[in-house]
Amino acid sequence: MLRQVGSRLLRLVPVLFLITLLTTAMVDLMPGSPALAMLGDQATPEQVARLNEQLGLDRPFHVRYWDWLTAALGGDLGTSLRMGLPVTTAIAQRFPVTLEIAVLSVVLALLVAVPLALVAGARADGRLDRTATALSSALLSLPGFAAAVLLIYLLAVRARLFPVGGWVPFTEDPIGNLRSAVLPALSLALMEAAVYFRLLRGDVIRTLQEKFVLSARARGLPPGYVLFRHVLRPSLFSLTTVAGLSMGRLLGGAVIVESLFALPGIGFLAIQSVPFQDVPAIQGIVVVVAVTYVLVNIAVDVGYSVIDPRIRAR
Amino acid sequence: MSRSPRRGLRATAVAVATTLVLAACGGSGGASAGPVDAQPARGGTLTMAIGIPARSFDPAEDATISSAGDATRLAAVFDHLFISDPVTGEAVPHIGESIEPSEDGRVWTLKIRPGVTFSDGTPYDAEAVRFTYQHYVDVGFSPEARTIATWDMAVLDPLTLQITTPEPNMHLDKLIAQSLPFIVSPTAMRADPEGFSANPVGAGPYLLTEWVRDSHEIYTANPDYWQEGKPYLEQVRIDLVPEAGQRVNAIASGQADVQPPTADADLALFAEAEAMGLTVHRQDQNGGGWIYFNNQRPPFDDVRARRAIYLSIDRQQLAEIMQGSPDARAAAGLFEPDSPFHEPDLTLPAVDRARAQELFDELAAEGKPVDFVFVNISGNDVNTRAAQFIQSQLRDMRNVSMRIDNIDVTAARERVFLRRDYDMSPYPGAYRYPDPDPGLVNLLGSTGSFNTTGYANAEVDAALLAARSTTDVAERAASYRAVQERFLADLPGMFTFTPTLTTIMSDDVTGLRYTSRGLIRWDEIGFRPDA
Repeated sequence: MLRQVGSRLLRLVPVLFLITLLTTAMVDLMPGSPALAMLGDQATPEQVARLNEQLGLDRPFHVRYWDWLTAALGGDLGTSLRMGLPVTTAIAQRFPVTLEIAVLSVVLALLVAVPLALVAGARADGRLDRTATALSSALLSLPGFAAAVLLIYLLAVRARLFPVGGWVPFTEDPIGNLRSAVLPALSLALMEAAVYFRLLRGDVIRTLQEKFVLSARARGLPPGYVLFRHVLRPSLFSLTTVAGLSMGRLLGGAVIVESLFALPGIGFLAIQSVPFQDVPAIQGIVVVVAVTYVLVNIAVDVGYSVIDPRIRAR
Repeated sequence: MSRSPRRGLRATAVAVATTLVLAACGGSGGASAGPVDAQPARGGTLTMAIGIPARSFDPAEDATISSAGDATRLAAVFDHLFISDPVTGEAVPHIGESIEPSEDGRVWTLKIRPGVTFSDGTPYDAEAVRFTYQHYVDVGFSPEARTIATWDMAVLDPLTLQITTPEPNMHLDKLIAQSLPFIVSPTAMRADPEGFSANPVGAGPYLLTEWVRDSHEIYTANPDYWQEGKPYLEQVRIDLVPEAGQRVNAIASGQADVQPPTADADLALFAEAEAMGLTVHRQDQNGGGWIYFNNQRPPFDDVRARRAIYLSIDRQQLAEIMQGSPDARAAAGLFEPDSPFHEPDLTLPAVDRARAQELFDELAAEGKPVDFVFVNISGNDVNTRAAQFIQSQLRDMRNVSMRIDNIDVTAARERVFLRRDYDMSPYPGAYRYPDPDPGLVNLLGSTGSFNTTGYANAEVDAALLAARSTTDVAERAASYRAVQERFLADLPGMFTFTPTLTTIMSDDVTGLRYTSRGLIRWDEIGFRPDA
């Protein structure tokens, strides 16, 4: 297992090199420049050239990339052109927001999907199964932002149970933090829960047809016990993969939801940085997202071996 | 956060009625706008929802002076040297006590109110004004930096600054009030030039006490503010809410109290806010939604092509589609009826598709078919709707074809404003000018900073210069009449809808006043005593 983790981490190095190079090249090829974003509509070519020089953007692409790469290897991801802040500081401020929303969404989705899928799978085609399957289809076809808009209207504007948007740090006010996190997390969790439900339900139905389940029943074990002790664990493979992938995706920043709820997370930082062509910030985000993705995938692999110890032995 | 919201029908009715009365009195001057029917109570935290994140608190780094962005925050920290009246564009004394031109309009004498200090205790004086303006030149961000670079500034005494301009300009005060209102503490700037943009020191009613980037800022009342008994609020919180609909939701739910006055073109959103029981205050201004024709290359270097486009399009329908509301009004001319420069007989061409077709045919017969590219700023719904509507209006006409290129705002800035590689393109918002100086001069003057059309007409330049060198309203009106006549003959660009500065707020808020750029008077705003 350790060798597997080590090899995954080693493979991360060329991945990071390629994606940062390509991202920088793509941003470089975009028309316009950060100078134009700062100077506005009345900028003259002289003003733009002067600011580009001040920002070091007049240097050739490969020189800028090399400078960034050598600094990044030393842990310095550069300074954001838009904010004038070190990129590591900007990301460190935002990552906890995205992490909290991502974890909360996945946990919420699992809390809803797992028990529902077990019960629905155990009574396939029953009333609960049909209702839950129909509901999950509806939720799957509902885009995340539409769910967010609906939740905002019902729970924030009408019922005033939660804030419309904004973020309260946990250290400042734990209750306020939870209140500001609920609607964004719920908006994301709805679709995730639908996906998790459908996957787990299918796997539960398949596992229930296995002989060891029949044998457990034949031994007279209670149905609930069979479901939780014998059916759930072998049915978790697909769900673990998908939950891992969605965790990786959400940690990369749920751009629309973060923007809609004005959450100062990684997705919001990305959406502010791209139009500004803030290359150091974009490069930093790409590095963090890539590393996160790989780490989450490693965690998923470790998760497999917990679910099925035979994998560890291989 | 803000006070508990009480949106009783009575309070709404009072606010709306007051708004209507004040709107009816528009033009009376005094740099006021908005419901100010009650003197604000003392205390409370007002929360503003704003769409653009704060970037820098160094005024010289704010190239746009947009009320939706940094300038609204700068107004809280730095206050205004002079107030630019939202209705007339006049410079109204504030920290600046007076600003007077010499007889020939070349030498201006600016006097500062005595006893005003920055929040670091240093004096707000003529040297501070000179230092700040020189700082604009050194930074080189703002279009005004180019103008200031031509000035000769001399501090005559601690409270008097003399500005000498290369050309006569009897309206320099309007430029200073509108575009150069924020003065920094030279001591603080010299002590930490790098850190000033995050730790600003001004003489405004509020001090920046917390700034969480891409999230919010908190401003606390300045205990040494120069106006006795002001500001009214204990704190101001500015929350970043990028989505326009979410800003309305935030106010409706009581999470925010106001959004800054903006020239946002989407009237449907304001109707939605009204339906939610919020107070919506409007102030019409001269100018309009503006679409550039590139006057320097075919096909729009030929006035017939520009005229044919005007004649092909029902601009009232265009305005309604752009603003998403039947309440939209097409711009009728260069000035609103309450302007002293309004000329009722000089109106923009009405739709005449038969005549437009004749012009298109005539140009095609000369080998000049009107095939053009409309460079659209993607992500801006108002402009996208304009592009699509214009394209649909031209679809069934002969010898004209239009292609839409959608590009993002930064790319558009490079292509349209810098390289001038476009045929037709919309200004991303509304171009507004309470007084034609400097707004109209920048738009139509051959060296104007906003003259992206490349329009150059000696007659217009001469008329603009003549109007600039007098304060006599009748003489100015005569000059601006000449400008309007020339504009209607040449049609260098297309005015679409009538621009309106609009503010959405809770009816707990009173004392809303702002400048011609929509910058809030933070010394005036507060909560109603009964809120």
